[in-house]
Formats: sequence, structure tokens, C-alpha cells
Amino acid sequence: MIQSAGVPAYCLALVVIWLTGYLVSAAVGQRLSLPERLGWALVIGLLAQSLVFLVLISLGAAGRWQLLISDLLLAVLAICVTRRHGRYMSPGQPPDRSGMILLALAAVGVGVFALQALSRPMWATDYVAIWGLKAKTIFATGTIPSRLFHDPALYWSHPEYPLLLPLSLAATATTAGEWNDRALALLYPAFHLGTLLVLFGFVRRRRGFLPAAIVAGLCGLYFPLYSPVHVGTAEIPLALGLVLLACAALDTLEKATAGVTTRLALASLVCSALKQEGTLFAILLAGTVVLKRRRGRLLAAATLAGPAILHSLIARTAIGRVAGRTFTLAPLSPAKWSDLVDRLNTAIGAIAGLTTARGWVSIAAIAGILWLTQKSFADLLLPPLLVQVGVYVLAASLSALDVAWHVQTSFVRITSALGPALLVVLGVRLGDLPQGLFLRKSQMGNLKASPH
Amino acid sequence: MSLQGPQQSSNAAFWFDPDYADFLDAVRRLTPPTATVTLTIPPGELYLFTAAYSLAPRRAVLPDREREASVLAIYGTTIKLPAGTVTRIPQGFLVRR
Repeated sequence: MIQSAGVPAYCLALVVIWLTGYLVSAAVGQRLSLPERLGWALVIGLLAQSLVFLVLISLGAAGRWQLLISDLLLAVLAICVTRRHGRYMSPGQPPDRSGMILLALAAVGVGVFALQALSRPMWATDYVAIWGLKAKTIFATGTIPSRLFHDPALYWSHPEYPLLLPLSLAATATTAGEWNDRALALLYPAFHLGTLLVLFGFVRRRRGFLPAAIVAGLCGLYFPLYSPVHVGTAEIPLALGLVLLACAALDTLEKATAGVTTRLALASLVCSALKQEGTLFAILLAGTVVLKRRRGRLLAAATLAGPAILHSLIARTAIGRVAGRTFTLAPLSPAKWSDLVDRLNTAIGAIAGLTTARGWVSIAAIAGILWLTQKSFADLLLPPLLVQVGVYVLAASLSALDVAWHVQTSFVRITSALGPALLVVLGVRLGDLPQGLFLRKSQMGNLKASPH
Repeated sequence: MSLQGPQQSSNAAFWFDPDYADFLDAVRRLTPPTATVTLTIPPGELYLFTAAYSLAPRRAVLPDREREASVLAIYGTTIKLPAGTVTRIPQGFLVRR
């Protein structure tokens, strides 16, 4: 009987990936806090692992030991190249009791999600039909078979979707030495933790400990996204990518150093290589940046849009034209505008029907926070987030299948991935509230000035 | 690379038809990884999606592409069997051309 290596092997694989990413991220990690470095390390580690895996596939050598040795060489190279770079930024404002309670709640949320994710093999329909199918095929064959894109029998597996998630899953399984779709779910609590770390680190660096702890708590308990039904889908890693993109964009507009600009480019690449929604957000954010009267906006916009567009072009060239069957553009023609209006009404009605009382309370709370707090530099993210949701509504109305069905099966999932990026805005705004709302008088005297 | 890790997709992904897991497990054990398998299965995307995933890297197709397959996997026990080498498997049959 062959003993399964299981969760321990996958834990080790994740450690290898995370550690490799941590060492590589030192090259671009200037001005980042430690939590942010750790969040970046996970994504950079998976991106590096996937790229190395892709090279090994092209050489016909996609094996476990080849991948581990490549990781080791990459880590050594990273150490040699980056040892002259500085350490991470010190945290500034010290922690307080309220914030520590919120962080404890966040940890509970991450722990609950981890238990749920690992309690059973990944079973979400999108995992089975799309991401897992592609990843398992790549893992088992050691190649990327062209039939994943061109087989008419697989038209339902979205051949037009990008490959970073399947490659990440396959590379992780290769590093672990076996395919285990239960242990592979470990990546998802890791994505959750990475998102929380980046949110906390960024807001603490820019605003202070307590607002950072608030958004960390909200992220930790963000059950609309971090729930068992989304384990195995692309939305959870995309949420991390969008947060990285948002934070890097805001840092770039403040001071566009080489490291910060490189982080922005990497985040744009990751988002576009995960899902088309990531490409959309990168381009919308680029457009918003261009309209701002800020120095360096053109460089930031080009760095946002460039990798996303380049990735799409390279994928299109490498894979060839892939027919997508999800949407129809017919209603956009002037002769069919009445049909488009009907479809929009159906989509909006279906979305309203999906929104629970808790959802309306959440929307009201967000609106209340935005109304009560002052505008901040992070408000740059609001227009692309809102437009992105609008595009989702329009896309639902252009569904080639039943519009209401499309909304019911995908709208909440894809919209919830935007939540953590919105938390960047809320965290920065909360940091502008009068300190007395958060601190007792005895703590006011010990308060250090926050960096911004 | 080993696919010998526990094939545990059966319980969670087959909530809609737990017997289907045993059927696909047998098809997987008795066919090579490079095979194209025609599936005679109930209608519904879940049957097709879970089959494609469970049998990967094998290619799983529906009866409209039967001529592309060397193996026919029939789920259920109340059907007239086609010509070929028939193997009884849990919840169905495997027919090799």
C-alpha cells in the first residue's frame, strides 16, 4: 500500500515556496513592513515557482527534484543579489489592547477558514471543471496539453482563462510529490493569511496600528469570500493580487522608486495571469491614475497596464485564438438595445434578489464610513472598484446563457473578491479619524507620529 | 508524478450521487492515463465535470464523440451493452473496442 505524503508534504512545499518568495522579494521589498513582505513573499514565491515550472515543462523536465533544485538556485541567487538591500520598515505606532483583540479575531477567522478548507477535498464546481482539471492535467502529464485550449470536448472549462492558478496548483503538487486535492487546499488559507498580512502591514505603515487591526479583523472574518464554496476558485488568490496591486499603486504615486515600481509591475502581472477580472482592474486603475494630476502618474499608469496587456498578448500568441462561449455581444448592436435594457433589468433584479439583509447592512455600513470620514489618498481605488462592479453587471446582461442563472452562479463570488481591496480604502480613511475615538487619554501621550 | 495520493474527490465532489465516485474510481484504475473515454452518464454538467476531473489526464467525452475513444464507460446497469470486451465495474460497465 502506498502511503500518501498528504498534508505534511504540502506544508513543506508551501514553506519552500514561501521562503523562496521571501528571499526573492527582498529585491523589491524596500519600504515594506514585515507583514507586507510576508504577503508579497507568498505571491512572488508562487509566481517564481510557476515560471520555473513553465521553463521545466518546456524542457521536458518538470519533476519534483528539478523544481526543488531550481528553487534552491533561485533562493541562492536572491541572497547574492539582494543582500545589500535594506531591512523592512519598523512598525511605528505600538500595538494597543483593542487592536490586539481585533488581530486575535482575525486569526480566529483565518483558522476557521483553514479548518473548513482542509476538512474535505476541493469540490467547488469551478475547481472541478476549470482550475483543478487544468492543474491536474498539467501535473499528471508534465506538459500543458494544447487540448486544454482547443479541445471542443472541453469548451465548458473556459479555455480562455489564464494559467497562473493551474500552474501554481500543479507546481505545488509537483513540489510535494503527489496530487492530493485535499492537502492542496492549504494554499487557500495561505492566500487568506497573505491578504490579511498585506492589508494590516500597509494600513499600519500609512495610518497606524488600530485602523490596521480593524481592517485585518474585517478581512479575517470576511466570510462572503473566505468560505468553503470558494476553495479551489480563482477569486481568493485574485483578492490577494488586487490588494497587492492597490497598495503598490498607492506607494508608487507617493514615491516611484525602482523597487516600488517593480512591485507594481509584478502585481499587475499576477492579477492578469490569475483572471481576466485582474486585467480589467489593472487597466481601470491605470485609467484612474492617468486622470489624477500627480507627478509620476504616467509611469504608474504604464506600469499598471503594461504587464497586464503584455501578458494577454503573450498568452494569445502562445496559445492561439481561443473561442469563449460565455458572452454574446449581439445585444450591444443598436438594433438590439431594447433587448440589452431587458437583460440589464433582469441582471439588476437578480442581483437585488441575491442581496440579503446582512448584505444591505454591510453596504450601508461601508457607505456610512465613507460619508463620515475624510477623503484620503486611497480614494483613488474607489472609481475603478465601482466601475469594475458596473462591468460585472453589464457582463451578466451579455451572458450567452440565462442572465439570471449567470448572476446567481457567479456575481457574488466575483464581486466579493473586490472586498479586500476596498478595505485598503476603509483602513486609510479610518486612520484619519480623531485619535480620541480610538485611544484612551493615557495612551495619547505615548502615541508616535504615523509616517503619513 | 504520482497520482497515488488518496483519490478523495469521491465524498465531497460527489454529493449529488455518491455511487458515481466508485464508478469513476474503477474506470480510472482500469484505463491508461492517455486513454480517451466515452461516458454514458446521466445528463447534467456535474456528472461530466466530475468525470473529467476524476479521470484527468484521461480525456473524457460524451457519446457524440464516441468514435474518438477506445473505451466506453457506461454508468448504470439497465442498458443494452454494445459490442466489445465488457468488464463489469461498480455501478456500471467498461467496454473496450
